[in-house]
Amino acid sequence: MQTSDDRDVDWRAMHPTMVLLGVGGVLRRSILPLLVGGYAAVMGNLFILFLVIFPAVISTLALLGRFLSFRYALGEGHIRIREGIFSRKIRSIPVKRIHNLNTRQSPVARLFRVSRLDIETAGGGAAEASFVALSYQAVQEIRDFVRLEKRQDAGDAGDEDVGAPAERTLYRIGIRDILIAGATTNRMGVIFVALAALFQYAQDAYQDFLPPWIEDLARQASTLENQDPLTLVLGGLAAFAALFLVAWLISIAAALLRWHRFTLSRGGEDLHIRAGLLTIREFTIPRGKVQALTCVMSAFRRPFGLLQIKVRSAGHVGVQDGGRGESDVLAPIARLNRTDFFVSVVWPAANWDDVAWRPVHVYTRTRQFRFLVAWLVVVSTALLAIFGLEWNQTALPIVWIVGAPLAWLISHLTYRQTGYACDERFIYIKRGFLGMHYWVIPINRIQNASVLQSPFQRWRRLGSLALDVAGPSGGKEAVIPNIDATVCWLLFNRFIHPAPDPGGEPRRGAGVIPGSESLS
Amino acid sequence: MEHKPPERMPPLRRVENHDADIEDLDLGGRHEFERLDPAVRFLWFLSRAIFWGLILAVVFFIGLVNMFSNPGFRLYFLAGLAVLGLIAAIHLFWPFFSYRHWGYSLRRNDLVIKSGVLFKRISAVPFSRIQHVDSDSGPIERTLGLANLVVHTAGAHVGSLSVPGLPVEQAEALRDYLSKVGHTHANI
Repeated sequence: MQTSDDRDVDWRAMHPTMVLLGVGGVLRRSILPLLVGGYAAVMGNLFILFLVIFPAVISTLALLGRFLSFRYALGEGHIRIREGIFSRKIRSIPVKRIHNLNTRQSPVARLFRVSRLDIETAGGGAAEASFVALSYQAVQEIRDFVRLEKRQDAGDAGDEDVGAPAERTLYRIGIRDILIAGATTNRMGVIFVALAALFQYAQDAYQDFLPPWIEDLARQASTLENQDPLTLVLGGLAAFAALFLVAWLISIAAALLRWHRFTLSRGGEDLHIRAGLLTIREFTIPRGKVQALTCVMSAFRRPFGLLQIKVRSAGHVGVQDGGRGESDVLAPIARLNRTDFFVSVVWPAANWDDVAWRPVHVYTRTRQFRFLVAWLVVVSTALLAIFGLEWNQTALPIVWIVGAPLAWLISHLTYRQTGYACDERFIYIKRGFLGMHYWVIPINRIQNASVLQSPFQRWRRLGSLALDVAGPSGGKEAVIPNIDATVCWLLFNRFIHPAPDPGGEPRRGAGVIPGSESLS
Repeated sequence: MEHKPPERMPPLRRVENHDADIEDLDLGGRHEFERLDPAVRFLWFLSRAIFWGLILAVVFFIGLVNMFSNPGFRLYFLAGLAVLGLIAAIHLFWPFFSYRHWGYSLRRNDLVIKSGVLFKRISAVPFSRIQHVDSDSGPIERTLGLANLVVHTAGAHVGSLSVPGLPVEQAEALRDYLSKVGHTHANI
């Protein structure tokens, strides 16, 4: 399948199954509108069906046209892509700028022995280029091409047929851990709400179609409930529990689908991740491009000592596949005491286990407590406004007797669990109350930094240090809250100039001064 | 796993005179913060005046419509107007205070920008992290001979930092200097 209508360029087409996979993708995306349209058609409104089908057909045709006209070529340090029937668009992606080559393989694709390839570069909102279907051989060709070009770019053009660097498996996740990951995911709440909404909708929608005997039953049940409030409560609880159980099972199944046979391996300077039960995803994390590591231990996972480790990379990495954050996960589930292993997989020089955490100022607690008390005041005012004075004579004291100590406990825990540390090359930050967030940031990856000071902090001679690293836009910055303003300033200057200047005028504000007293 | 020797945090210099205000901290060397062009006060004042002019026009319109139909409305309206007027006055004249808290400094390896009266912020961009530098100016800024300097980094949260209200020539000189010393795509 080769056409050569450009001079010297070997344009290649994708694997023919792209048509099938492309149409499948369109169908999958428009299944909900189609269902709505079908429902409307059943109800006698054909216009809506037309309204839904028309764009689906148009987009299918457009997609087919794009895929059929899609050609790519490798050569001269670039991957060139040509597509479009009416307006022809040629893109040229320099291999130098390519960060990742990620593949994805659905069960159907596996049947045809093809896979999808996404090329990721820094910047941009989506993958730079997507090959919907390529044969294994073509994928391997592109991989080899990129690897060779990169090696030549790095300077050692001498030995060209070194071949792929040996893969070494570093980590595999067992079924048990994946099940735990699914059982403790935060997404459960979302699924629960969605299920409840669906349930409610179904109830509303089918009330008119119910056969009479069910209505009779329902009437009997409702009269029973009217007589016995306990039944009502128990019934509600049972429904809630059933819904919760279903949501739980769905999230476990989702985790299994996504992370089955999760394997982290290393070849040369790249980390490779491969996971999935039906759709197998493979992504690459170049170690040199990692900007920071974030470890998230959610409240559910804390009792098990489990956390998720994510990689912050430049560009859009992490929103592969239309926004589903995936290729930024280094370990979907890992034990807290194994964190050091994952950190050292990315940066062998980092010392997670030997981090000497430094506390932040007690003002962290004061501030948190003040904030929570303000909330209590708001809640009390709202209660007073809604229920009046009489009801609140008993309710308000209870709210405060329970709320105030709880607020203090939360504040205290937050303060105790906030900390930071740094060594020559890395900054470590931990924050959190029920769940915990950890950051590991290489000092030479900081893009910009800020010292912040509120009026309250000024009064206590404190400041906060905000560190910004590259990543998908809208990402959070890492903040060390409430540390001594002077220390804050010293750290700020050190982080901004990681390498100490030899000679020249002494920078008084900045960093390391040999032989000086260590700060306790 | 082999045992790694603990890497100590490099010693920090203890400073005797604890400065409470981060604005007073020493920039190091001979560096000092440079102020913005004084004309920026009028620029900010003007842009805020336009904003409040629009708001007050709407409020007056609402007042006029309701003034005659609703007798109890007048008192509330006047009280609300007084509060709004106070807020507007503070907001309008705030630039004359905040102006002197703005500043920037070109150090050997970075650009430092400070801002904020109550909530202070000092930000720094190392030259090696600069992606690209812009200078831009709107119509009012152009009549006053001002321009903004915008320094873009790859940072996810604060992608670009800006120094507002510089004289045009200065903004352009800074832009050219920073573009020269900045290494494009240096660290990603």
